[in-house]
Amino acid sequence: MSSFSTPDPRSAAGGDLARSRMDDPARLLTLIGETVNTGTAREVLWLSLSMLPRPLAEPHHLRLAGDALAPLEAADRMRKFGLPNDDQIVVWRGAANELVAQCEALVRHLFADEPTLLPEPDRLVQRFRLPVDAARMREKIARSVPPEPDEPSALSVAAALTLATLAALEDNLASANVARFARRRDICMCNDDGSFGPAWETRILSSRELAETLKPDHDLRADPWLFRRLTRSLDRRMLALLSAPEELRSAGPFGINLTIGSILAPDFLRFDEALPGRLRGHVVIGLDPADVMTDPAGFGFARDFARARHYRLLLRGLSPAGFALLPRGRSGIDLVQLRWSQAWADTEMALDDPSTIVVSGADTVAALDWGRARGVRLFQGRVVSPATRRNTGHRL
Amino acid sequence: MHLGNQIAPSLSEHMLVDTIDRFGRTPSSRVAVVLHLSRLRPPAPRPHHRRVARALLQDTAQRHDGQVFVLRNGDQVLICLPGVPGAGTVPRRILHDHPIIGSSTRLDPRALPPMLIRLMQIDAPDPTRLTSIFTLPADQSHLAAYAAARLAETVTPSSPEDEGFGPTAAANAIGRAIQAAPHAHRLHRQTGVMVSLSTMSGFRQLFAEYDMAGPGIAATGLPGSPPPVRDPFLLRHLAGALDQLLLQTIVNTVRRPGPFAPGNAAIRPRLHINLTLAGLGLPGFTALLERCRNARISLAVEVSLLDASADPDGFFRARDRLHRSGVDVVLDQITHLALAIAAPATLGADLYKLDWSPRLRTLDPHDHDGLRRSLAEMGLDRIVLLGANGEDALLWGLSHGIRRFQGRHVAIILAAERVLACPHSAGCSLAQCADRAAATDPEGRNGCLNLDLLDGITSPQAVPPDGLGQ
Repeated sequence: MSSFSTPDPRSAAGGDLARSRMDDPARLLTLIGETVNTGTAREVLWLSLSMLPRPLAEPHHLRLAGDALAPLEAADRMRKFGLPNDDQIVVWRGAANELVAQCEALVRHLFADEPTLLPEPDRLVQRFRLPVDAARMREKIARSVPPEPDEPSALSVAAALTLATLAALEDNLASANVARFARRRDICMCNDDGSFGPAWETRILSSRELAETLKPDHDLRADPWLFRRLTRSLDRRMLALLSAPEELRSAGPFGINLTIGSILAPDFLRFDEALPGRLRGHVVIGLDPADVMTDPAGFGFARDFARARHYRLLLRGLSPAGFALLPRGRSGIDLVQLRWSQAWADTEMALDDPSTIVVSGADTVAALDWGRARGVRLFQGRVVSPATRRNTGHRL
Repeated sequence: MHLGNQIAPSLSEHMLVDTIDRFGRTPSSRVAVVLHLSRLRPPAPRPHHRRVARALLQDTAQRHDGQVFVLRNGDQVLICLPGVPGAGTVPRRILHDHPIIGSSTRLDPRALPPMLIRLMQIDAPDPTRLTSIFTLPADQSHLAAYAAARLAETVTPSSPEDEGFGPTAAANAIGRAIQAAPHAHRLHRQTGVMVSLSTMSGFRQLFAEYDMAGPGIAATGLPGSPPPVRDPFLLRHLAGALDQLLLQTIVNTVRRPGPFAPGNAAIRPRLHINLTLAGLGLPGFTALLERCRNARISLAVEVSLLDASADPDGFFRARDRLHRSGVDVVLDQITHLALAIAAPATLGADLYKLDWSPRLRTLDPHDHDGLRRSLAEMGLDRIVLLGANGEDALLWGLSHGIRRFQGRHVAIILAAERVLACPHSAGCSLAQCADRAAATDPEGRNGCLNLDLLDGITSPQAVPPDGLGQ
């Protein structure tokens, strides 16, 4: 929880810099793949700014360190990448030892006053050669991407909710400040040139962090039906947060996960009333398949109402089995979000209309490749969208 | 404002009459849209029907200098300036192909009725009568007559509906109440039958199904127990919590009418048991498998479509595991509304239980085609029509090629066969015989002198347990 009270300045440095890095892991992975496939040789300099201790990782440090790579801009076919953990990578063709030496000197000079804090120079600045070092670089890229904010902890041995603990939690939620649990996840669109740009961002309340605060040692998702019940309360709070005028005034396209009951509740009507006209048609409502099946009549009503108010509907988290069970053509849903797993790679299932598909959990280049090979252009996941780049405190 | 058990004419009715009168005397044109929510099929209109309708009408009213009147009978009336069809724009980029949204929907009040009808049609016995449009002053007399009728009519107040699905604490209390309830209250038994037209052998028993009545009880309440729970999520949680109790009850009940009571197991109908996917991992289920093997009883597990939809991968794993143990898998609680959005056949169950609804007889051609497609996908010889409590359900099923049924009506027909075959039935009614057959405790069978026949052990029409009963 300390991350909320003392935000890491690396995140605060985000802004435009962070946004420009949004698709860099994917672009770098693509470049690595190309060198492997074609046998093309490339030189790499990797500046591991993520290794800097916090006193040396203030925004101005990061900016100056990035500037230290400027000499390499003169190298042949130079390309520069920034990773979510602030590491900077330069890739170029041919020998450029003199330029590399200039960069190394600039970095050393930058931190000359703090020799005791500075990591080993040969760890701070590393050289790689493609395609030979492709595997090592892929590994470093994967490590650079932080976990999604709501991923369950690997060490979690928390207890499941009971009806009694859920009732108490619902009472607590009514008065708790939930704004600090608000997080964003980017849905990115793959452009024609292979780069990625933001399509919309999904606003969520982190149930894991919420549990750590309000019900420590409890896994809110351990009983899926009780968790679904809890989402009704979370929906109400999220809609209230989003309905604030200052929130919607600056908002771009966004998504929000709701239950059917929440769409038909007064809170949603208040949100709908507050929604600016410019955002009509640009808000995506994510639905849980089990919730849809719980009340098909209610779903039909909510679907037609939401679409009459110009929302787009998305069915969330489908495996191949779920995708087959709930054909988009029958449900009348606008978008379908596939939860990436190896099962998708193993299936022969066709995606009839790839423009309506979002691949989520795209944490590996394999997921990205699978989707792109089938014409999918919308992705969510660590490779395309470092989700923690904007830990925005109380703001959504 | 209530007068006894009636609602007095409200300000809305009076204002509507006055407004119609005023616009009838002015030359400027107005359009009135009447949304007859009172014509929806009960329990509609529900609060969300009223709320959403009001929001949509109010939105149009604001754009067209109008006013919305909410009447005591639930109807809502919008009177506003007529719109300019085709003017302005809406975000067409992603919605251009939507059947209920045109570019003028938000601009022309006359475009509202198709949208309102589409929204409400599931609950509208006759969608064509759900909305009316009047133009003022031309139709002033017709609209005034409608308003006068609303002003004069007697409206009985309905009890306010709880929208909160019931508090979680209530589910906790009712869960405990179900666990403490008498055996006969919480355990249900029903018989499934197959109609064999080709052999003229009539109705044959397919299976005896046992299920815990917990969710049903929670939804309706027990005498003296906490208020009912309507939240489907909490009901599913309760179902899972009662799995262990169901398994214990089934496995440990050795006297009749328990499925493991002594008797001639070779001709017993197959045993069906309703469980959640999580329940299949309980030690009690392993014990049940063992008991069935020892008693040479064929077993099938019924899983609700909702549970399977929530975790289709888990359903596949469970199905394959059950098949390896020689247990069939039945997909339960499939409604025709679910078939409109889902394809349960992709789950590869051995049997599919379709819930009967009178609305199946009145589907529009498009929905009926979709239903027929779904039935064909599942396979007519794998469908059991559930809730066949009357002749209409049986006839509908037979006319659609369905031959397997479950419900009160077929239970009565089976009772008739038993009464015919039983030498001790002189004083028995068909309803008594059916009730005794459904009883899960010995007391519920008092008065029957032929329990072997009642349990299907010596039924002349029992079906050998060979999968589909064929």
